[in-house]
Amino acid sequence: MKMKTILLVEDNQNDVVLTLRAFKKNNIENKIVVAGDGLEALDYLFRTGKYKDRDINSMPALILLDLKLPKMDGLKVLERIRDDERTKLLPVVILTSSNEEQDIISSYRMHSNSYIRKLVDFNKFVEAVQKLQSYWLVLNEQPPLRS
Amino acid sequence: MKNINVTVKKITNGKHALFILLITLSSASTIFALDPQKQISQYGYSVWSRQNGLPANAVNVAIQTHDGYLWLGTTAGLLRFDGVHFEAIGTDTADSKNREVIKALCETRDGSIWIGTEFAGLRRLKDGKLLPCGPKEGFPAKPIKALFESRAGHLWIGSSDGLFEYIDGRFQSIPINSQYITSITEDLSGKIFVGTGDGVFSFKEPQRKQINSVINNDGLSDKLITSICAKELIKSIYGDHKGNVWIGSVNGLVRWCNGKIITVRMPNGPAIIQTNTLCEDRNGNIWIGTTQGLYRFSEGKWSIFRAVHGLPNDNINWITEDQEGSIWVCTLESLSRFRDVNLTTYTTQEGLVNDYLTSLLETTDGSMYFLSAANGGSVSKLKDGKLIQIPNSPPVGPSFRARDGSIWTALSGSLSQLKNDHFIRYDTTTGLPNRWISAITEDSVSLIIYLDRMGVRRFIDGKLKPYLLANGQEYSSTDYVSCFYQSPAGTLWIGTSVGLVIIQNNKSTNFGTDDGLADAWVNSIFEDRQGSVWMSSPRGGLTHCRNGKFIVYNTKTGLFTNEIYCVLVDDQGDVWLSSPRGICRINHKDIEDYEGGRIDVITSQIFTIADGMKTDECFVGWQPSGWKAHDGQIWFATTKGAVMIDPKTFKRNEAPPPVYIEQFIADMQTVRLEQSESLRPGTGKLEFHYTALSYLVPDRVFFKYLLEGYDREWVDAGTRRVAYYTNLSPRSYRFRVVACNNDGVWNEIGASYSFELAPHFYQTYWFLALMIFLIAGAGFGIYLLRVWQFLKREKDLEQRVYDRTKQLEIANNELEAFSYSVSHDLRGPLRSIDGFSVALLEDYADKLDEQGKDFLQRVRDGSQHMEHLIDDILNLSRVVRSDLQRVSVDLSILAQSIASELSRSQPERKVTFIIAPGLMVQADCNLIGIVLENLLGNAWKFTSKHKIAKIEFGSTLRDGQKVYFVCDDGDGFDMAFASKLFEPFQRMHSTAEFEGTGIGLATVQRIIHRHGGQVWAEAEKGKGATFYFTVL
Repeated sequence: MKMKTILLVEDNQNDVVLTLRAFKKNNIENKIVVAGDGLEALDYLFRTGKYKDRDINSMPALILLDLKLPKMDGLKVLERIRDDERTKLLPVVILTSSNEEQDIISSYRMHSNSYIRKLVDFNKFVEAVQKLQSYWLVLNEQPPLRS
Repeated sequence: MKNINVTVKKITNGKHALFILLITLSSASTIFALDPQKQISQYGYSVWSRQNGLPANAVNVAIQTHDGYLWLGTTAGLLRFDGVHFEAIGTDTADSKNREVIKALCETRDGSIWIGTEFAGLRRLKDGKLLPCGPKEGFPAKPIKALFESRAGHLWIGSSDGLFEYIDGRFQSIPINSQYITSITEDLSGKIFVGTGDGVFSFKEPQRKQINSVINNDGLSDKLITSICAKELIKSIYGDHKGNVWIGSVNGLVRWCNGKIITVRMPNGPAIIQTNTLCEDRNGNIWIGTTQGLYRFSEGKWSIFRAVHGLPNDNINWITEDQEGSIWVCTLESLSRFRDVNLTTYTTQEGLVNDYLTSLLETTDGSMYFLSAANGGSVSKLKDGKLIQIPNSPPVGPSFRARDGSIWTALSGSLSQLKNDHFIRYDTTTGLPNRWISAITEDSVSLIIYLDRMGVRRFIDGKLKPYLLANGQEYSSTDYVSCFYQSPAGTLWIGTSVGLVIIQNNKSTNFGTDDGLADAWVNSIFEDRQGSVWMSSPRGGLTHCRNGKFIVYNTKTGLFTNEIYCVLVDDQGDVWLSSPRGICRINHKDIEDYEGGRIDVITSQIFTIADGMKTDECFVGWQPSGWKAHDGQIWFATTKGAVMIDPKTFKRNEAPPPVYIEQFIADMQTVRLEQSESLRPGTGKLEFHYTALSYLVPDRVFFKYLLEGYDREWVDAGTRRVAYYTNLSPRSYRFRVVACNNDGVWNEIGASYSFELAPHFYQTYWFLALMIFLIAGAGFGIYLLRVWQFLKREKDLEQRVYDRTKQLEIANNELEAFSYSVSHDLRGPLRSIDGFSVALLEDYADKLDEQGKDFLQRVRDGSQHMEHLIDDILNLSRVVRSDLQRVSVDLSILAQSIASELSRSQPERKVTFIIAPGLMVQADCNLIGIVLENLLGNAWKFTSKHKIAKIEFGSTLRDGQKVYFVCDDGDGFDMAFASKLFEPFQRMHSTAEFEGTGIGLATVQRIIHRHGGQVWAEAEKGKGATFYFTVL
């Protein structure tokens, strides 16, 4: 089975490095596509912009979405994802620094599948990513793809 | 009893039937007329000239009209006189043409006053209006000389150019043989007498068959024209009530009687005296005004009054008698008036030797003797109305009438006896000491005198003998004796300057003020008919000795003065007193009432110059300065003559004076008095000028007025003849004024005038109603305005609250945005620090020594601590921001669950939790949970060094309030820091000792404050701490 991609939407390069490291430490071999802002994430998902030639059949298995993003914030991105037939069933995990109740509520209201706080303690973050992987990429059945 | 005679005379003139009622009060005491027994100079005499208000240089004619006013025809026009004020009438003073010289005046029975002028012909004043009587009215403008109304009611007009008669509204020329008419009169038979420049013409008044029949000279001559005093210039003519016609000419006076001319020879003057005017008084005396003064002819006796007697001018123009019986004399420069008075004064004018009288007494034959000490002494004697001088008068002074009819009089070193008008004199040459003799009397033994500083002595046969008392001793007092009184009963009363001495049965008794005398100085003693004795004092009033008691009269009890010179009592019992201020009478009824205790104050009736005295000053010094004559007459010596009063014929003016309101002035504007007026609104100043026509003594004419509608009682105006009112409120009024005459007889009806003061528009009822309506409206308006203001303010406040809330919301939003930013952005770098530190430790572990690893671990710890700080700060701000939702919370359960969790987190610790059950509170569940978490967490934390610890949660009462507490037995803290405990980031312990951020208690305090409660702590270092909190 071909390894599904994971879309990481994150503008902070340090976070990107650390996240990738956390994935690596958890032996996650899925291809990881990083989008630096909300628009890029949408470009990727809807094959527009620089991703217009992307393979139509390869939708990410998981979207890790930061809330605070340049150009278009995470919640907006989530709204577009859930709005579109092509993407509305994709599992989206909110991965953010904020533990603001308001953010959490808004995320779930937009039908995010999970909400994970990026903890400062990197080891705890690795732990969290491990649990994330085991659940979303291993245990969880992927929704059928649609074209 | 007074008899009233009513005489009715019926006078008919074909058209009118007129009744004249002459009411005569026949009692002698009520008629006021000039007593012909008196000399003219003995009447009350008054003069009005320019000096006291007469606004004219010459008075040509005077009449009194039936309404009581006196009218004067003067060189300055017509004047109306009320006794006080001269009013120019019928002429506009600014109009010089009307200020005519008036020569004749006559009131006809229709109420018209006819005015004959020198140059402007005839005028007629009727009902206050001046009517012309010139050529248009059928009368040629001629200089008028005489006006006369006949008993038939026809007005006769004498001019310098013919005689005219006015009948039934038409003037008729009456042709006689003279054009220069000077005077007209009528005799008892109805014959008209006309005085002319060519003698007197008399004729029967023409009888007319027709009103308009023309009389010609021939017709008149048929009626027998008699010519008297032919070719003489007649000045005055008068037909008296005895049938005589008196004719005065430049050549003197004749009397036409029964067709005969009798020459009247006037005494005391030139042989020929020009007679200017004639008048008959009510007693039939003829008054003659000449160029040589005033003459009165009374039953063959003459009395004369000239400039030497006080008349301002001897050239007399006119004489008239008024209703009060006074004679008015018009002269070139003045108006003079003679009136009868009750006090008759005898002076040098009547023949007294000297006016300065010092004593007077009466001899047994009824002669009055007047003694004057002035100029060496003189004695006058009045017998049968004649005054004669007693020649060879010695010095005279204190006097006494002896039983034998002789008069004793004394002075220093001189004692004289006047017997049969001859003097027998004793003096130092006869052995009399040169001592002042101040009082003389006699008893049954001898004459008794007082010699100054020697004492009382008897005078027997020209020698002084001692006055012996019962015990044979001499009466030795040398006190100054003012007067003696030897009573018929034989008691000697001695009035001295230090008291009264009574010698009875040859025993003397002294009395002074302590015994009840009015004053120690007794200067006159008089015994009345009832046998009670009166004593006067020149400084202390009057003492009445009645039935052995002294009764005092002085100014406190109504006596007009305390300076009494002499006291007498008349046969009616009235007390008469002489003083420096005139003579006074006290009615016997007042005395009976006062001594009977019925009144507190007596009335003093005072007589002065106004009543006939020539001075108010009576004589003081010795006695007798007053005398009661055998016929009851009262005499007093004054410094200007002897004053006699006859109490039996004391006259009283019984005629109430007519009262008139002459002028009504409202705000300086004269208001017409003919009808009642309505004054314009706001009239502020009202003046009523009124008068009463009693000419006898205008000073004693008193007024009372009352404004009905304003005054509640009569206002006593005294002699004031004007009343003022200001700022009366609008309504109708009636001004009433009453007056009394000089004897206090009131005209109770008086005069009245009704008027109305119109209200201002703002004083009317409708205006009041309007104002009430407006005020009510304004009140309602103010109410509405206030309500509106309140509403506006409420709106403003709402708006402000809204604005503040908005601002607060904005601030909260900003804070939220900030918190959000902190949440997201502050953590990122920390995560990088921690993450890459881990990467270093893992990936480059071989290249790092132990110290390097330790450093990296410290970097990690720092960043992780910072994360906790951020979380706590965000929590704190969340506490502030979040809404408070109170619900019922069971703190005990909450505390229990926290305790369990704590125990679970460190199972190795042995901590006993004691949690009171069932502590319920109304609070926000989440927030109160944070409070308990922090407090229990702190307790857990600060007991961590104790092996065994105890943490208690419960409640207690402090000041009646429920207080919750969390108590531990941990490390506690120093109370010195208690105040800093609840500030953010304040820590009591090092991080090494106890971990923590220092935000927890700050959060607790905010939550408690948001619940309206208080939180505080009590602790001791090393012995644990207790945190208390309350929740409202």
